[in-house]
Amino acid sequence: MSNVLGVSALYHDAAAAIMVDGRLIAAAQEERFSRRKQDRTVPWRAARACLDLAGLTMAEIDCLAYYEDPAMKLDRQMSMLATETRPQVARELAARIDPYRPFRALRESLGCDRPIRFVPHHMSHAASAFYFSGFESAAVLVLDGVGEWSTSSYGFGHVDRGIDLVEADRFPHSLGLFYSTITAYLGFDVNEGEYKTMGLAPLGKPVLADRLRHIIGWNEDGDVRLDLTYFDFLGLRRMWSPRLVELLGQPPRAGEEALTDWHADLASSAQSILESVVLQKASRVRERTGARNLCMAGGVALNCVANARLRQSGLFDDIFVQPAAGDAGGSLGAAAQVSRDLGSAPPVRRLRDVYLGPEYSTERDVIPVVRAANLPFGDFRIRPDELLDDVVRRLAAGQVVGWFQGRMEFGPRALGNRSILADPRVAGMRDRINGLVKLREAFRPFAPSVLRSHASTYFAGGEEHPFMLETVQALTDSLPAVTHADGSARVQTVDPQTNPRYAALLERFWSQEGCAVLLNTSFNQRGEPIVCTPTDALACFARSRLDAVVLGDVLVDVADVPPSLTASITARGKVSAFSDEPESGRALAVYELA
Amino acid sequence: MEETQPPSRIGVWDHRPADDRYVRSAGDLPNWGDRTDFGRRPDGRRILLLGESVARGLCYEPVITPAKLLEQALRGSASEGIEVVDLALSGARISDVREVAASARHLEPDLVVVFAGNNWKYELSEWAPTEARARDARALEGGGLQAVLRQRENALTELAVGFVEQICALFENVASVVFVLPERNLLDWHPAPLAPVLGGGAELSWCRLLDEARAFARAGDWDGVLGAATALHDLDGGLSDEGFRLRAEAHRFRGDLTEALANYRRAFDVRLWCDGIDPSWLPSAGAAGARKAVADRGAQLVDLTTLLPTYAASGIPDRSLFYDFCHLNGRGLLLAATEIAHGIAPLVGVTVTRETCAARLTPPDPRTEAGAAFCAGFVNADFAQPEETLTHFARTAAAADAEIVTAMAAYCSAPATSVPWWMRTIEVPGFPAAQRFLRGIGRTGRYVHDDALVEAFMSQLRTVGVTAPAEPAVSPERVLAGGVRTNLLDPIFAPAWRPLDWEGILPTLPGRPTGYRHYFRAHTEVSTFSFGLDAARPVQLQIVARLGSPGSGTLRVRVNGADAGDLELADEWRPLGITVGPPDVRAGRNRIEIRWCRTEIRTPPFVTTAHRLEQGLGQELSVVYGELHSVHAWVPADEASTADR
Repeated sequence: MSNVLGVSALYHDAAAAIMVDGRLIAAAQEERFSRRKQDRTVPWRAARACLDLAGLTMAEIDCLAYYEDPAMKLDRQMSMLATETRPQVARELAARIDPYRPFRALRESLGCDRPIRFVPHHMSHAASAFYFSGFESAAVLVLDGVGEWSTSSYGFGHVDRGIDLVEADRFPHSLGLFYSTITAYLGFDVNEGEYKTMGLAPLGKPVLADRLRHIIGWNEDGDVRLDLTYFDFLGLRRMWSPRLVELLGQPPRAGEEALTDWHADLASSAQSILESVVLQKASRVRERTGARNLCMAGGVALNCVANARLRQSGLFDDIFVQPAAGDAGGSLGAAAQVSRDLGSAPPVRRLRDVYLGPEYSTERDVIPVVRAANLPFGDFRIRPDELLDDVVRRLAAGQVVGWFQGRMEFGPRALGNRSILADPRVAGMRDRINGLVKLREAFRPFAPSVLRSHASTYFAGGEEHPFMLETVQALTDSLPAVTHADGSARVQTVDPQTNPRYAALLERFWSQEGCAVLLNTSFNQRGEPIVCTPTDALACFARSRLDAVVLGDVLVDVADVPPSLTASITARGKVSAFSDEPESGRALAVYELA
Repeated sequence: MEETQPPSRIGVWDHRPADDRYVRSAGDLPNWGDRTDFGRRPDGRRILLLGESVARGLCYEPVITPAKLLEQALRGSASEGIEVVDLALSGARISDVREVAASARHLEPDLVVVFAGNNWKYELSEWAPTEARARDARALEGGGLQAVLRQRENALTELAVGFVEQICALFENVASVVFVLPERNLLDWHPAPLAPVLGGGAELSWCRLLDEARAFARAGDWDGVLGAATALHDLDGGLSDEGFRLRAEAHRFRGDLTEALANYRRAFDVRLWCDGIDPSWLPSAGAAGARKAVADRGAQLVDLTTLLPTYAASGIPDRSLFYDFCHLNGRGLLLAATEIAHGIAPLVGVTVTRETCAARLTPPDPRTEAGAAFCAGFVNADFAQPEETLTHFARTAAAADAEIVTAMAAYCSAPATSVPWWMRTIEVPGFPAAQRFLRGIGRTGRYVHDDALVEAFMSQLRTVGVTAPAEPAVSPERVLAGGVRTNLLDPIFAPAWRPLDWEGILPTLPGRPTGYRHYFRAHTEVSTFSFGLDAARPVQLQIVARLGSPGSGTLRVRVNGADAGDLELADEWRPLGITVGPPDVRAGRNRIEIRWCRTEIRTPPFVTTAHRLEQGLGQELSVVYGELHSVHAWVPADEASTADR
């Protein structure tokens, strides 16, 4: 018997996950509760949600698993400090060194008084992929920016023998940091904007790849080496050095500056290099391990274009990418690894879904919130079929509908439980959704959800893609809102067994509209985490003025939302919680003050 | 004054060059006055009012504000118009007032009135910069909590001096400046007493002495009270506010109002050592600093701390003047305006007497008074004031205008959900202050004190014959659902697994847990929780607790006054499972009382606490009696009501 609480925190994407006797019960990212995007603070809200979902209390936790080894990280930080010659940077680096912080945070902030095991960062990633892959044995490849020292690792996992992991690349030489540097150069945020670089790439040509090979090289093993004279991420201010500007011949793009063909070419070049390195590494991992299956994790594993190329290469019979492959998933891996160490057999079934977060009841949670906001609503509790008909009618009429159901997804993708849905056949739908809610770059495509049974009608490949982690080619030009410039789509196949309600909606759309595909984008506005609670969903809906929102069995029409409520919610902004970090203090209620 | 470019913005008013006026920005800006616009240059004589919520007339504004009252008082005596521009900001920090003052210089005032001071103490605790924390830490290392108190008193004095000097400097050669020192509700406001960390195991003795002093007070043995309070202060070096309050009561019952007043004042002053969140008021050290600086600068002073006590019904500033810790009620606002007008009249060349003010100033109409008393109920409930206080304000509100019960009914029938204030749309036409408060607070389901407020309102509803549910009032959303584990630390109680909303719950708990630790820390000997039932049926409780500070002790649980179980506390979390059935539980609201019976408390050495204080690691200066990670309650599924299904 073991109850293990896994935690990732204090870098970015803090999260908690809970394993009971080797079974994954719950996982959630802190940002969803705190409403601060990529919240890195101690995930106490997520941890409490996981405990409650598991029906456990802190007293029943046997061990806490942390996704990083502070001692190893200290070693890297001290090494950086020792070689830093700029006094100001050295001071800042020194100020960041606090190896006791994770321990203190877990003990005091979270209140965990049970043993704490620190799992090396890449082992956490590897465990998060392998133990949920369903493979009896498989090669493991971990690629990210940086953990303690490692920036890429590979190894072999076996259900009985566990995971053997070898460090391939070591900080500062990092494929992830290379890609993040180009992302920053393109004016996107590091750790968030990499998707944009990937989305921009098909619009350009890899004509700058030769120049980029000056700054990154790799050997036959795919081990990378950065020419650090082109980078400055050690200096804590920016990712690149002036030398990179000279090399590229164009200055870095400012945040809101218009994107040009040159930017697309740069993205395409970086993407082509990333794909080459990933393929090279995977190829060598295949040779060295002899494994026919591959598991991947780490932030780079979220690059679905590279994943698709890897699958197309035929190097492996099957590939499993952990859906929360970034640092949030570290909580999952740390919990799984420690759970195994404590004697609980790891799961042997593949992770079928990531509906691992909290769930809200229509009666107890949704209706009181809607009533408190004084909004009329359609109550479909005893008429679920009519709800589907209503939503399908709206979608077919070109409406954009917020869809809030069941347990919240874990990981960066909304997979039909916290989604915004629309008809993918409508040519202007991308612009409409961008105008309403996403406010994002026009080049970025939206993703399709398709009934698994109909996937091959619309998309090439025929594989199952429950997590939107690979791109495939669209076989039809009838889905303009979800097809990228290169004809690809980041598809989600929906299985009635894992998400019956969403599948029922797709089936209804198919039966009534002859289309088994819906545009599915995450239920949030730009700069806001995906909604978690009915309150978040209602606020996002009212703020963005989507045409309607479905919350469980309840539907609210935007025509019933008074503009005053929209104004009030908009004035409040997207953050509804205050920082719990000691430095930031707590905002006081007006009447606490004079 | 030198001719410079007018500032583009003063407070929330933007400059409109076309007509050289300042126009209020659009948007939800409830902490500022509602005035839509004012000219950069005055038409007649102009007074600027700067300050905090007490200068805004919180709960009476926008109908009654000190600015409007001042204008009324002065206008009748002036041959030409006098306008008072209300630039006060609720919740203003020192820097906010300074910033407004700097930009408002360009409004060419004849006089500036600064009515502030209550928020200054937050600059030493909640808003303290790193250096201030370091100074506190050094003081703690060197001389314990008494040294921290002295350090903060000195710092507050310096802060007040600096503030007065900066404001005076800003208006030098521009306008005269009058500072108004606010008074506080000394008699009827009871902060939760916190046990100071004393070291050397003295905390338990301190608790025993406090119990002893309270027992003497209950018995009316005032000699005993004074003796025990003296012993208490001998032990803690004069840190205990409850000790001073007990002394004050002893003196008051003996008829010595001077001593009583001094001790009540000291009871508030010593709270300056607390590192948790306390309501705002101006400690004497700040007032003293301001007085001295005003005298040194040759500015004017209206000292409400000397003027208002004479008006209090009891001789001690109380709820006949205030509706909470520092905010004035209708009568208090009129009296304060009278004193300020009387003080500033010579500076604007008019004659104002207290008698003319009494004739000119229009008291709040019953509707406004009712709305304000209604709001007072919320503030008092939120800070866990006694139920008698809540009932008093509910009664006062209904007596002023019986129609306020519509607002009470609206509040009581609103779902207790987690919807934040900005999503609430409860309408209470005709009561602007009540409307503002309902919109601002709504029914957040704020813990046990919300239940107490609902009960006070319900009681008033019944008194005036409005149909109300039978005792006790429990919103259906707060009734335990069959089979659903509900964490009672959650301020809304549902859904069961929803993580704690500490941001909402923090200010409502008597123990004032720190925001750094995300579980409940009991800084008082008793912690109270409640749950609702739709019918008397067995309930399972699971409490996870630990000592929280080294030592030993037991946790005793009572449900509706009946013993339900106990748990030997340890350094690690331990669960206590209890099943409670009728008659100990009943339909409606049920109260769980957790009593922390500590037989030993060992507090860390001051050097350790100082280090943590310096790092900003939470509330460390008051004794922790115990900690709770969760308090779950549920009705077993087979006991669930049909309603739950």
